[in-house]
Amino acid sequence: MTKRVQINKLATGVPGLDDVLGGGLPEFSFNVIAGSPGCGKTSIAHQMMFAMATAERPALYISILGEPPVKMLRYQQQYSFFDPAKVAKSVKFLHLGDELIEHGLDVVLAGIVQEVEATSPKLVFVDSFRSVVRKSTAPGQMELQLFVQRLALHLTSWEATTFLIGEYEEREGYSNEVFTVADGLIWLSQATQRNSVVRKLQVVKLRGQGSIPGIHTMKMSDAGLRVYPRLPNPDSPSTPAAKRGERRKTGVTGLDAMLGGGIPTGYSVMIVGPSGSGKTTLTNQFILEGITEGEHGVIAIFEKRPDEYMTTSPGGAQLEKLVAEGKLKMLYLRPLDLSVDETMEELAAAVKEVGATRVVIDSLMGFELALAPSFR
Amino acid sequence: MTLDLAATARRVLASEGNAGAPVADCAVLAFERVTVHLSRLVGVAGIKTLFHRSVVLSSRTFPWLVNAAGGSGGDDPIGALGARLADQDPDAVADAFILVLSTFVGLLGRLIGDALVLQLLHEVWPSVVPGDAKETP
Repeated sequence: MTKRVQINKLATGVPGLDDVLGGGLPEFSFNVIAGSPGCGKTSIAHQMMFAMATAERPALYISILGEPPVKMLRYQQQYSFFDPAKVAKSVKFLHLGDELIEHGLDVVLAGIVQEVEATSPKLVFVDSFRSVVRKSTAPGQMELQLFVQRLALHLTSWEATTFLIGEYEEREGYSNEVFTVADGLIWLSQATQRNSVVRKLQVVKLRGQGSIPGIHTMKMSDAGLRVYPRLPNPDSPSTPAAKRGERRKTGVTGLDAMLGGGIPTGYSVMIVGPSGSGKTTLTNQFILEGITEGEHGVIAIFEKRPDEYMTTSPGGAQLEKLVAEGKLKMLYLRPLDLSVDETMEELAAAVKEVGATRVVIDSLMGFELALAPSFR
Repeated sequence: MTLDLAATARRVLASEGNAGAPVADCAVLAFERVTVHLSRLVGVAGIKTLFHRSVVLSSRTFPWLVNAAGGSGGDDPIGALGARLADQDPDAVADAFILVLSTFVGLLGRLIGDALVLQLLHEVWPSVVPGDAKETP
């Protein structure tokens, strides 16, 4: 009986989020997903729900006020994670907006309790929780903190992992009675600078495990949300250390001789020069030399599209052939409002994909221009 | 939607109520069953609005579905519809039921998708609506 309790960590299904959380979401925890309108709270909740819900771990999504359920279901289905086959089986929806409008928090709490006792969901989502907060300010209503405490107590007793989803502005701060009760607080936001908007995620609080601190970049696509941790996962395997004195030939004979046999393995080298001075020629030669030696490579480009790059740059025809053979990966990164974290992630994935030992970024200027202003 | 809505509505009507019960009562029972179930998901107000629209659209074919003022029942659209169905002969009631239910299901399908609607209808009438969607592991 002296053994410490082991808290299971649930995989959230949101790429990158488990790393930020410190390995996943603690089972039976009571969490708040907060943020301003449009920052992805409902989407991330649905993404987690569809990933985590199984026949053994059923989910209950309770909508209260805010986005009408018909619209929520209509829009959430546009994401690939939405699985209609799970609906009414491992994923159940319940709308209690009418109960809140007509009777208040007591009846909403009773409705949640009744449903939880009847169906024993292991995952419970309450959206939008802020509408409950606003409604609770009416005289004679159950106090919000009391409501939250009872809800937390009840759902934890029923071994449910719970998420309250609510609209909170950043200026309201984190000192809120709801946040005090919560085991976890995930804060979503959108950083605006000049014309650029970057989605952000912060784990403000998570009891019982070490999350990665700081504000992480987030992207939304048809597949849902993806988080780019600002620090590498400390548990991920590190690259084997290069042997002392090991060098990689550039393929430029005189230069290799001047460098003592090539560029030391693991080094980052900046090639600087005016337009037309041969920077791309040199880096292409570096990649081709590596492939001759049996290595693989990645070229990340920002200013030209891959086909244009291979048509116009020296050795381009050879590069095209190597791409087709899977020895070289051309990574084209030129969306607007790119983040450093996202670029790192894409580069790391490309390196892993082809087993690259040589990487070229062409060019740093192009990279900087592709970054959202907040990252420059 | 791959489901034949009219045929399904006909089977739903046949499955409701006791043998010999008035068709209008069976129709009201079926409407109550489906709206109560879907209200849990969409909310009472949302379902009432959709049902009201279904009745109004169906009244283009059966003008007697709405009252002289063009209303379809306000806060209790099913109760009001039941009262109007009770005045009609059984064949007319059955035809109107099929049209209203098909319109209602079609509207909901356009909003939240056919796959989801089929899942929900299967929950209401498991023996009438097949629930063959497979859950992704």
